[in-house]
Amino acid sequence: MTHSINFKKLLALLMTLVMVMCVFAGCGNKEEEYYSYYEYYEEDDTASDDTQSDDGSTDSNDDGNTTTSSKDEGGSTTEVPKNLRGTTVKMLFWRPLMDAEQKAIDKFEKETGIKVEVKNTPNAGTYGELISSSLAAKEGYDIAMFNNTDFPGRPVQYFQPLNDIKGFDFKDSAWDISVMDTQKINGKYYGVSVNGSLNSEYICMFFNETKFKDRGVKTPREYWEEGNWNWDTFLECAKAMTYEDNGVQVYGYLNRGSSYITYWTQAAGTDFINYDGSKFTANLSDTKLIDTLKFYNDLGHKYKVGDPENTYGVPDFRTGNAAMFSCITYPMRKDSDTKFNQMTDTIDAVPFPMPKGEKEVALIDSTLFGILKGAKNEEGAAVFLRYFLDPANYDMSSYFINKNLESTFNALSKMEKRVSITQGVVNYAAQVDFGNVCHNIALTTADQTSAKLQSYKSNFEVAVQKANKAIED
Amino acid sequence: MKLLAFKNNVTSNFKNADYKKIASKVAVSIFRYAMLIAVGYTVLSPLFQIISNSLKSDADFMNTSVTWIPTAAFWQNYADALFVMDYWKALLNTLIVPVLSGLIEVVSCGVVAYAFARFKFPERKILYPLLLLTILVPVRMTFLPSFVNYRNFDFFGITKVIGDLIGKDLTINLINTPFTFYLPSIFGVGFQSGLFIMIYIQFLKGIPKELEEAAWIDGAGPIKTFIRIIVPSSSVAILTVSILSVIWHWNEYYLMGLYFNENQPLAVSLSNIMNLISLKGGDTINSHTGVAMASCMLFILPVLVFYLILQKKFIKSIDSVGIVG
Repeated sequence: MTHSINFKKLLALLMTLVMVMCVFAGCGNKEEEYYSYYEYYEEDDTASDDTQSDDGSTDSNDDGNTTTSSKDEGGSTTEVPKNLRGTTVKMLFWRPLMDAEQKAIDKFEKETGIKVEVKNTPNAGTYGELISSSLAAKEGYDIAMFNNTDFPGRPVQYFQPLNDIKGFDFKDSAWDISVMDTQKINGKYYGVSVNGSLNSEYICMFFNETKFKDRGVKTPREYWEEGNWNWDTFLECAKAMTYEDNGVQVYGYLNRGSSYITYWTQAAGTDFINYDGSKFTANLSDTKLIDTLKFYNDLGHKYKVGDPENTYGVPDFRTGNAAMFSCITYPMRKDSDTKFNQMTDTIDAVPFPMPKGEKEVALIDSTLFGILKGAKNEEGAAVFLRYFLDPANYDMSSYFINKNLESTFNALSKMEKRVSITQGVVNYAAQVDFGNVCHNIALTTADQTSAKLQSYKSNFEVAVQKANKAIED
Repeated sequence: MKLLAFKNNVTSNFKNADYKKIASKVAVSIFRYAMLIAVGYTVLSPLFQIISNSLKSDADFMNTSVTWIPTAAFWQNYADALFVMDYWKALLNTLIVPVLSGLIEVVSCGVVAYAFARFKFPERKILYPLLLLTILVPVRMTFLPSFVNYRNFDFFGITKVIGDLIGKDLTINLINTPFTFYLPSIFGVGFQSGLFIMIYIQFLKGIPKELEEAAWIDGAGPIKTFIRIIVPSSSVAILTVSILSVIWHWNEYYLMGLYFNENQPLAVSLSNIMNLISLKGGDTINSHTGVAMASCMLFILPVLVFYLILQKKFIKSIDSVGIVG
C-alpha cells in the first residue's frame, strides 16, 4: 500500500516537473549577440563598390552615407545604404510565397544586393508556433506578420518597437499610417503596412450587377458615385432586391453571422472593445454599439432582407439567391476560391456603407509586418519591407476579375482606414470565442440584443484586463 | 377424439411458438441490420461524400439538384490535385521521412519493451512512469524545447565545449532534415512511441518465459534471445504496431510542418490544400472544393490499399493484443 502511494507521489512529482520544464523551456534571458548596425556599416564600407547592381547609381545621403539608388521598370525606387549589400534579411511567412511575391524578392535581391531568406509554415494555423520556436532557437529571423486578430498578443510577445529602428521613415506617405496607428502600443509602432499592397484586405460590399439591372434597381455603385451610398440607401437596395423567384427566396443581403457583424460596428465608428493606443476598455454599454447591432438584427428579423437563420452562404450569392454580400476584397481576385470569375452575371463591389452623414472611411482586416525580437538585420528588414509591400512592384491589375473591382480596391486603398481590434483582444484572453459571441448576437432579435450583449460583460472585462496587463508589461 | 384434439392443440401451440421464434429472430435481424446500416452510414458517409465531391465540377457544386451523383465524372479534379500537391514528390517525401521513422519505431519500441517486460533493474521504477509521461504529455507542449534542441543540436553540451575551445560554433542544425524524426524514433521516444512500447509490453508478458530460459540454457544472450525467440513469436504485436505506426506517421502534419521548410510530405500539403490551390492555379482550376476532395482521396488511397491488404491479419492481431488504436 505504502509502495503504491510512493509510486503515485513520484509519478505526480515527475509530471509536475516535466510540465514546468516545458513551460519554461526556451525562456532563457541570455543576452542575444546582435550585429550592431554600425558594426556592419564599418565592415561593408570597404567592399561596397564591388557589389553595385548593374542598373544602380551611387550618391550620398544626408548622413554622409553612400546609398545605391535603383529604379525598376515601372516599379518603385529603392534607396539602400551600401553597407547593407551582402547582408541577409530573414522573414517568416505564414504561407508559401505567391509567384508574384517571389519575383518581387528576386528583383529586390538583384537591385540591392541584399539576400532575402524566407521560411514559411505550410499551414497558417501553426504560424504562431513557427515564430515562437524560431525565437526560442535564436534563429535570428528579422520579419514576421501579425493581423488585427493577433493584437495585442503577438506584437508584445515577439515583436520590437519600430520607431528607433534605422530604415523606417514614417513620414513616407506610402505607409498606411491610419492602419498602423490602430495597433500602436504606448506611442510606438510595432508593424507596418503599405497603402494598396497585395496583402491589403479592405472590407467592401459585393453586388450582382446583372440582377440589379434586370430588376431595374439603382445599383450600389450608382449610389456611391453620386456620394449617396450609406445605410439608408443600402437598405433601399436590399429591400428592392428581396423577392421570390419561382418559389426560391432571393435575399437582398447575405447577412452571414460570425465575426462579420463587426463590419457594421466598425462602419458606425464603434466597437465591442475600444483602444486609445495605451489602454483597452470594454464598450458593451455604448448606445451606438447597441443601436448598430439592433440595426443588423433588424435586417433579418424586421426588414427581412436577409435570412434570419443565417443559413445562406457565398454559394447563394453565386447562384443569384443573394444580391449583395459584405466581405474582404479577396474574392475580387481571379485566384480566389469564391470563383466569381466563373459567374455569368457581372459582379461589382463598392466600399462598405457608412451610416448616413458619416465620413466615408475604408474598413480593413489589417496585415502588419514587424521586426522580431532578436532580429539581426533590422535596417535591411526595414528597406526590404518598404519594397516588398509596395504595390508598385507588382502587376496589381492582373489580379482583379474586372476593372470596376480594381477601381474600388484602388479607391479603398486611398481612404482613411478603420480596424477592429476586438477579436485580437478576446483571442488573447481566451475567455470566450468571439465568433460564437457574434453568431449568437446575430441570431437574436433587436429587443434581445442588449441583454445578449450584457451576458458577455464579464468575459470582455477579463479580456480587457489581460490585454492591458500585456501592454503594460 | 380427445387424442386428436390434444394433438392439434400441441401442433398449434408448437406452430405458434415456432412462428413467434421466427418472428422474434426476424425482428432481431432487422434491428441488427438497421443498426449496422445506421452505424455503417455514419462512418462511411463522409467517405462517400468525398468521393462524390471529388468528381463534381464547379457547375455541379452550384447546382442545388446535384447532391450525391455528379452530372458527369469530372476527372480533371484528380489531375489538378496531382499537380497542386506535387503528389509523387510529396509521396516520396512521406515514404522517406514519416513512414521510415514509423518503421524504425517498430523496431526500437520492441527492444525497449523487451527490457521493460523481462528484465528487473533498479531504474525501472523511474523509467516506467516516464514512459507513461511520454503518452500523457501532448506534442504541443514539447514542440518548443524539441525545436530548440534540434536547431542547436549538441551531445550533452560536448560539441559546445569543444566549439568554445577552438572558437567555432559546432552545434548542428537538424531542422529541415529527416533526423528530427529519425533520432527520436531510434531512441524509442518518437511519435506515439510510449503507446507502442505499452502494446509490446502487454504482448510480451504473455509469452512463456520457458522459451527464453531454454534459449539461455543453450547459451544465447539477451540480444540473441530477442532476435531468435521473441521476434518470431511476436509477429502479431509487430503487425499491430507496424500498422498503427505507419498510419499515424502518415497522418502526422503538425511537427512535419514545423520542422520542414521544404520537401513536405502529403499530410502537410493536404493541411494547406486550399492555399496551395489558390497559389498554384487559383484562376485556372475549375473547382477548388472538387480538387480539395480529390486531394483527400489521393492522400488516403495508399493507406486504404495498405489497410485492405493487411485487414484480416490486423483484426486478428488486435484481438490477440487486446488494444484498439
